[in-house]
Amino acid sequence: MKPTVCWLVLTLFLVFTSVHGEETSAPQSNESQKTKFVDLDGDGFDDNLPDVNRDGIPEFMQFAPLIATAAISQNVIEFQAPSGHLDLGTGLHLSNSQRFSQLEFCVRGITRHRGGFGTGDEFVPGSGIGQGTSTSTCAGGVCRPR
Amino acid sequence: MLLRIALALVAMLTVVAASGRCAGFTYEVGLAETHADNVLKDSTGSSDTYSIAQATIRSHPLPVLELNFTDRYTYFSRHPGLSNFLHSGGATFIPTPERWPFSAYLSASFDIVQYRQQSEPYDNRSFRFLASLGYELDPAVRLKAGSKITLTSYVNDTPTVADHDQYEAFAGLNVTVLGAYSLDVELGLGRTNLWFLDTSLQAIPPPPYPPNSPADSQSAGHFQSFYISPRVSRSLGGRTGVSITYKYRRFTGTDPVVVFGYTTGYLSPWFGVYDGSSVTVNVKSYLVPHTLLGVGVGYWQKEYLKTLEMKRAPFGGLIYQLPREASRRRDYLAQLYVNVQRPITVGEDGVLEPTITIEYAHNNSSIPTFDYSAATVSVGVVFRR
Repeated sequence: MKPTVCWLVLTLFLVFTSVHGEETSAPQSNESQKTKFVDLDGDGFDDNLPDVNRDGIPEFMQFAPLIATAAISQNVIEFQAPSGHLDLGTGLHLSNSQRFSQLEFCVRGITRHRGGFGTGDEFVPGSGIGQGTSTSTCAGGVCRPR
Repeated sequence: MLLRIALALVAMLTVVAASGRCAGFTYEVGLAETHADNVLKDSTGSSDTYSIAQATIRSHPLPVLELNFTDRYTYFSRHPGLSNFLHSGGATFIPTPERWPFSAYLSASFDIVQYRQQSEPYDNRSFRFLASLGYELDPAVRLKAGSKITLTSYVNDTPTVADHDQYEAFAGLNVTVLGAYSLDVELGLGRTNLWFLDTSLQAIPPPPYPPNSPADSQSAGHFQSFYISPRVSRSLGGRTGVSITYKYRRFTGTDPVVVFGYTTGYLSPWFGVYDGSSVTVNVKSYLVPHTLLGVGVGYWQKEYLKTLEMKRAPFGGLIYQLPREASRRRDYLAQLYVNVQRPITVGEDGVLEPTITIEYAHNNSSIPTFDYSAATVSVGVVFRR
């Protein structure tokens, strides 16, 4: 791939996101009041957003309009993300599964890597069944029939 | 067939549900149906509809340990020989406490894939071991390093020329820049053994194959892989996240390597392996209430290992190419997908996740056989608890 294409795409990405991301970058610049933006899983969202019911949608999103209004009126950051996925207390009342889930969140950045000799890129997320639609016809690591 | 799979899943779910809650189990069951208008992703444009049923059980005997087992069946309606069972299991150990800046992750797992009779030569087992470490220098700066071993064997392959062992090491850095951007850079090395046809080989044995099959003409060797992959991500307006990932992968030591290709009947596991570069952009959004919307576009420049195919003989029929006649296939792939998921909470801790995925790919290849367009629609639902 020509390097110029990559630089062009990256430049467009940075310009586009810096223009359209302004409304979130302003509060995040107030470093002393909140946790830093961290995105180890690469989905573009702050990993510290809580997802108490584990449905994949942060609770912040469901109340976003209300929080945004409050933030504007008070000129402060209303949404304080907890450190860690869920602050469920000391762990005394958690099941092993819940405690493992907390630990798993802490290591989310080191559980996978983007290398390997694979034939697929895990590009299409699919339904969580199998490996996405792209690689389901693989036979023995080869995506073709005999 | 799908009905039988569904009944088996329901039976499995009933057993798990009866014993699961008190024993610290969690479970997940899923069904998916996919229609692909070009399931083989080549110029034949052969369509198919395939169904996948999957069940996973996870157990946590200790807060730091997970044991998991998965069974998955994939049924192809028009290419039944590709239908297969996957049995997999594994253990994950996370020994480091939550609030430590240092983190460690250890995982061991296995897969057993069984095809129908037509594709039995591809039945395989693989074992994977992953050990990785992370260190938080600062809330905005994290380092990671790790190693992975993958051992794959083809149980019905005689001689066992398809078996291979892969060793990888990687390291990376994740840093928050300009307050709202996350930059993740990763690089790594890998080494694998393989059996291949040497380019200096002057002839390949003609039929009848046993005991002198073309596979016997292969010799053992290895090659290395290097990759580097930067990724930049950030949030847009609070409800949308976007990331762009570049990946460059280069093989070394592949100059003398030729592998059996599509038309030979001795398809090599290395047939689909490529180096090159790619750039992908993924967008994830919660703009629609209670719904997760994903959109992605990607572009790949791929260069495959040299592949030996059949060719027309001067007096009719097909014969093998000579290894020195083999060439590297170069592909340019553009791909797009849209993924919509609507999670529904069920009871206290259950989640039902219906998902629909639409995907389109367009590939230009230096070999006309692999010029294709492919559209795929997949509908699935997962319940986990």
